[in-house]
Amino acid sequence: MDMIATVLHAFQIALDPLNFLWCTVGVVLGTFVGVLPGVGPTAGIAILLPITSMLAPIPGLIMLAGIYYGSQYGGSTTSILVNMPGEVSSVVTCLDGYPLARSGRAGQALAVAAISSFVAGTLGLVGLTFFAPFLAQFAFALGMPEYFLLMVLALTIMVNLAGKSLVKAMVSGGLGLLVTTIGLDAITGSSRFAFGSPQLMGGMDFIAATIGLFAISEILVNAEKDLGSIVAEKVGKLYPSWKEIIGLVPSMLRSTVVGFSLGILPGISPTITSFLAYDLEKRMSKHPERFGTGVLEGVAGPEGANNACTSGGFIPLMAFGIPPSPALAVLLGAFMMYGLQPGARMFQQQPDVLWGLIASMYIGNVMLLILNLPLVRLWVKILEVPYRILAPLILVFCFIGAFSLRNNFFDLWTACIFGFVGYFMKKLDIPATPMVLCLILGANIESLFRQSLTMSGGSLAVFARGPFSVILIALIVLLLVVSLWQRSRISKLGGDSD
Amino acid sequence: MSIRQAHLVAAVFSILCGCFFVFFSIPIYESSIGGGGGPGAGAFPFWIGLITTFFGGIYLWQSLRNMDRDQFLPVERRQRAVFLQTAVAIVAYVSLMPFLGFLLTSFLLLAGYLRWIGGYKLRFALPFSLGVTVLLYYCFHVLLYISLPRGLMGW
Repeated sequence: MDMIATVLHAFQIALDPLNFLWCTVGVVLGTFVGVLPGVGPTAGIAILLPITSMLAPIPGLIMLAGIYYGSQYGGSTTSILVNMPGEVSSVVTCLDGYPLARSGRAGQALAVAAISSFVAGTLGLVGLTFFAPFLAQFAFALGMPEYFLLMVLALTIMVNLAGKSLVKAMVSGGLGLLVTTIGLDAITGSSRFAFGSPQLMGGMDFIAATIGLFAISEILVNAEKDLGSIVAEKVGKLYPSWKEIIGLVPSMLRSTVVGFSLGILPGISPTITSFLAYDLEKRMSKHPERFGTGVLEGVAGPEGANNACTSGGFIPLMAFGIPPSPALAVLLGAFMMYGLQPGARMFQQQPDVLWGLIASMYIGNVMLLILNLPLVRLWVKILEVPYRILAPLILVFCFIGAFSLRNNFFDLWTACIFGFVGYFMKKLDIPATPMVLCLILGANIESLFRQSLTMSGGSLAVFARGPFSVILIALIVLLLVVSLWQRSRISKLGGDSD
Repeated sequence: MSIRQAHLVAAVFSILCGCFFVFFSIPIYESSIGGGGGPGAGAFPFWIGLITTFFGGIYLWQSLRNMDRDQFLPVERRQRAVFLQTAVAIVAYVSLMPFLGFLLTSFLLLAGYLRWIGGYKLRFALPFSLGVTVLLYYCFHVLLYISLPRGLMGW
């Protein structure tokens, strides 16, 4: 009964005209971000974060979350119409989406992508509604050492999944953690690695660094490619038949399970789940040989999975304050900007913010379904704008985003330097995800580490007290050992790994 | 520079970074250890620096075994020129911002990019850049009250 009252109150908050307006703005901007080549949800949220600084926490967070899940819808549009994913998680959608478009069924493919995204996204939200508060209760039982180990476990999973090379992922994460130590120490107040520079004493801004790593680096990478005007396939008839939709229901349900259950784990991006869902659909199909030639299941599966994954990803963020992906790390940054710390206590102390946010996502998913199809032709028009015009515009947006949170010219340099670092990382196949997650979690991890040791008088044994700590340590060690063993096997077989 | 050399540079850079943090965290590590029973401000960067140096070392070893002789920058002249022009435009934009402010610097970036990198004629590039810059200034600064960089002239 309590739960029903809470959910009803949450919808009341989300349907407040102002919150509803910012939810609409968020999902439309998110779709736009998804459609635009070279701007993913991480960069999109980071760039648009300053806009929300003038808003109250609830509408601000509702808008940023809308950008996140809206981008998953938008990414499919470019995959289907031009065979170019606007968002990495939509890469798989190209495999069957584009052949469908070429055979004159682009409209149907787009509609299936939208319906599947809606179904899986909404079912994922039902899971989020029930799981997040339950896990948050569990988080109350955790002490500082367990919390520290949980964060280390999250980073270990993410480092394992971030790229082909464990070594490069570790280097990326290590550098990210080191950067967070620059500036004033939060516990003792002493200056670290600043060498008297007032700018460095304030620390490197995480948002500016993320904008550099994800948006500016992408512009530099794209500068090497000849991205001219894009010619999109004709949209044609928009709606599939009821028979086709009903036939796709099992695919949508399977993709929801795949996306949601894996989305909870740190490091599992919507990209991975969409690949797994596609593979599962192919295995379950009576005609697997038709996959890749334009089958609707090949669109419904990955699109459903990546949307369910985005819903699932909110669970560790809301229950433990641990973001499982870079985009949610930026969202965590937004929570922090408002002085909020997602986690168990927030469900008790600021329930309106979390429940309002969850309810707005249900509304946002409905809005995306309603808005997406009629707006498809508008997105196609945007795609036709040459990248040579879009690139400098994106650059200007990036630097507005980097500057305006702290009004600091130093942040422009941070974005610029991390842009070049990100370019190097992309070219050398060094994953940027560990670096971004470490940049946002670094301060928290350090504080938990030091406070735990202070409690124990400097004894490392504090991390091995209690069965839960031992389980976490065992999981961390097991993950590292299995990962190293697997990679060495791949290496021996002549694969590209370490 | 080949891909192999770029990997070597990245590996050496990560080792140097790790060593740098280890070296400069030692004084803060030691000085605060006796203070409160727990680790001082240097403890965390010290250990993370060591771990980064260790993995940087493995990365260096892997890079030395890497025989990828492909070029790091694009081989084709046009692509390389576009990349370098974009890189210079980004650095120039950030460098000029404190002196010229958002309006003038953004106008110069947009117009310059469209003319020299995009290949558009000035009769399109100039009015487009002016219009977009003013529109962005109006939307962000006037409508949304977001502060934008100001130059020496105050705008």
